[in-house]
Amino acid sequence: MEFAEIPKDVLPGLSVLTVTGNVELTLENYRGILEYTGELVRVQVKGGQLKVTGEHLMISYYTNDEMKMTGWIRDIEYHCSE
Amino acid sequence: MLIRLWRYTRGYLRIRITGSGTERFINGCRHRNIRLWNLQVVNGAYEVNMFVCDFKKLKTILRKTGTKVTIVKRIGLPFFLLRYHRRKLFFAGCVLCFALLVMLTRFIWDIDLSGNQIYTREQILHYLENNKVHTGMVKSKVNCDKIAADLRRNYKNIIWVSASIDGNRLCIRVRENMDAYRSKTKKLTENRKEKAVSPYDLVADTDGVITEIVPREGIPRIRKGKKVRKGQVLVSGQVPVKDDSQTVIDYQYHRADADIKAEVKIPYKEVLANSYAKKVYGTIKKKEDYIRIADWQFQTGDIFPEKQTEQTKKQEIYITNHPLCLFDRIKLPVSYGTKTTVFYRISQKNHTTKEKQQLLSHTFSQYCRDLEKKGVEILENDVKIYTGSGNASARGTITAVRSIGVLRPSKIKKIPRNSKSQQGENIDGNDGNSH
Repeated sequence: MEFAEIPKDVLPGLSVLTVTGNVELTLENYRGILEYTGELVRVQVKGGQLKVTGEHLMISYYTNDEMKMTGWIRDIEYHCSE
Repeated sequence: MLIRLWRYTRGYLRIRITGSGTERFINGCRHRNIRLWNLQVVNGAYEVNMFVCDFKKLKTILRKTGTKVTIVKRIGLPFFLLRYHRRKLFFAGCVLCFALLVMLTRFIWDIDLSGNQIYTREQILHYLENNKVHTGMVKSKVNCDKIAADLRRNYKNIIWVSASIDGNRLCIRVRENMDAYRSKTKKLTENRKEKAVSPYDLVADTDGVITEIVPREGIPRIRKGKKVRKGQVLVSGQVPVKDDSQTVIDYQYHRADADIKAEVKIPYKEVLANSYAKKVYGTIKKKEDYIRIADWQFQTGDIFPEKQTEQTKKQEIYITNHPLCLFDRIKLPVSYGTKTTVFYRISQKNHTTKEKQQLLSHTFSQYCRDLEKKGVEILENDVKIYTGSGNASARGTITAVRSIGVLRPSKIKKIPRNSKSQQGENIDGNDGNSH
């Protein structure tokens, strides 16, 4: 793939994370929410978990392909599953 | 915005999810393509929005995840209609109002005309109306190019026209050829003067002694220092044409014109009654506001100026009316304002001698001032004030110098027949001599 110079976001199953400042986050290709509180959102993605911490976190929409989160985002962590 | 409108039109629910497997519930919804939005944590539970149709699909998910759902809020047009479904007339009114609004915007409601000086607004609007352009016509039928062309063709002094539609207003801007108009008016006035064929005399409108005469047109019949009587011809409008033997052979007709001043006697008499009625105003004032729509009126009080009772006869009503206008020009049959009533009583009082003198003197001074404003020069006056127990009066004569002379159609003088025949003979004789 690297040889063919194909962008990696077209590869099947890989998550795409788009962050706008620290107020908006869009996530594509995810498997499901594991935990959600006003200060923490844990999302299952392919090959690990995505952990978003902050304040007043709200899920603006939650569809089969994409989810959008708004609020004050402090940390974004990616935990790779062994 | 569009998404919000679409959601509102479809109708949606705000639900609260409680239980242990709330995350599983959310994932389950996603798995079944149930749209969720605005997911928030409120008091330890989840609150989320979803469409009404999706709410019916939750049964299986709730059973599998062991969660409970309660409806917090119903939002959207279907719920609004359901809430007010009995108020059919209200909705009908809304629909009718909207329909009327849409319908009324299709018409021209005002014609705004500017730039006209030679032709009046009424003239141009009348012409447009004859060409079926008027307020209340359908906007789509307005042909601006045709209006501009018609105006230019019909009014020669209009050199530029612009017609456009601005909302519900037809705007017409014109430019006029003022120079051509002025020269034309001047010519017309000159022609009119030339065409004045009937003669007019200047006659005295009162008795007097001539003090000054400046003739302009016609033959003066009086001289300075001469006494004249009312109706006497001062300047004749018939100018005789004489031949070599000083015989009148014809008359030229003119409109007599002259500045003639004469010393005249102006009688003056002013009577003042001994007693007079004085209005004594009370301290109580009644004030009320009103709204008037055509003949119907709503008011906050009970002041009716049209009802004449014994009580209302002795009151003064001051009305301040504000009519409502559309576009500053179309007067609507709606007005508002205030009415204020002041009560009074009549008290009969007598003038004192000093008051009588003052009042009569004041009236006479005012009369003299008015005369002076009219260009009358007062030489002397012998007006005296007579006061007594009864009515007081100011009587006398004012001697003044003022312009006299009014125009009157002249009596056409006949040319003596023999002078005509003599003229004819003379001409013949002359012809004979020449041979």
